[in-house]
Amino acid sequence: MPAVSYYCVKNETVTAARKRQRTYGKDIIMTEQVLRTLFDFQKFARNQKLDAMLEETRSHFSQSLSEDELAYVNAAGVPEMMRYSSREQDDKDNQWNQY
Amino acid sequence: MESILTYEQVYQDYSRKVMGYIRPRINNPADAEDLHSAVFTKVYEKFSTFDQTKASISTWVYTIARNTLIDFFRTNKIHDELGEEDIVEEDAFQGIFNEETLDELAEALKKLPEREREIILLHYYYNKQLKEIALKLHMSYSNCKLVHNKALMKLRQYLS
Repeated sequence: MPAVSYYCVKNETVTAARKRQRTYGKDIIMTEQVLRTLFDFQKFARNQKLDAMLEETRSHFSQSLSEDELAYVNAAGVPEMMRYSSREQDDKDNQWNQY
Repeated sequence: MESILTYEQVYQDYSRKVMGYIRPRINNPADAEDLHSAVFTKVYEKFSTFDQTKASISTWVYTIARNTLIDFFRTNKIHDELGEEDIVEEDAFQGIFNEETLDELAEALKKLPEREREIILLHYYYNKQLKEIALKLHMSYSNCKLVHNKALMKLRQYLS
């Protein structure tokens, strides 16, 4: 069985990893590592089934209103005024382009 | 009759995938081009030693691309490049890099309720923090962590 340090995520100390291991068990941490590994490979292989799922999630998530955005929604649930400058909107769009 | 795999075929099949893997993580397009060239230089140099019985060509090219990227970050000691933190360095899971495993992952994710699936995809693919995910999905942070752990336990069962 690998040492505790094997399960450390980036910048995590061994102490913190031990605490996570006690709290969540080795199985969950191992599953986390497996998922990170597989999703990293997905960024290369672009499995179509996963791509479709990812696109659906990305689309749904990017449409959800943020707390700031909610401030501009009136009681009837209608956005009053979107005050984003075009640059802010570009930044929001671009955060997804890296994937 | 089996067709013999050639370097030219590998380049044609994987050039875009390699660039698609590298480019989002590198600020400078010129560096990304250099890394792309470095990957295929290594593929060319090691091509004669590639053993199809030990790994698929996809896995092999991916491993070269990944290691080239890791070396780039280490050599240049650049800490502000996009996506550096999610590079998987461990080689212990190398055996799971194949299309069949990705298909299995897709099937396992389909079995999850939508909310659990979204949390997993947002956290492990899109690298969103659970706090941000909780906010977007209108959940409390503690509930989001609970749902996340529940999803992990289910996936572990489905994938084992």
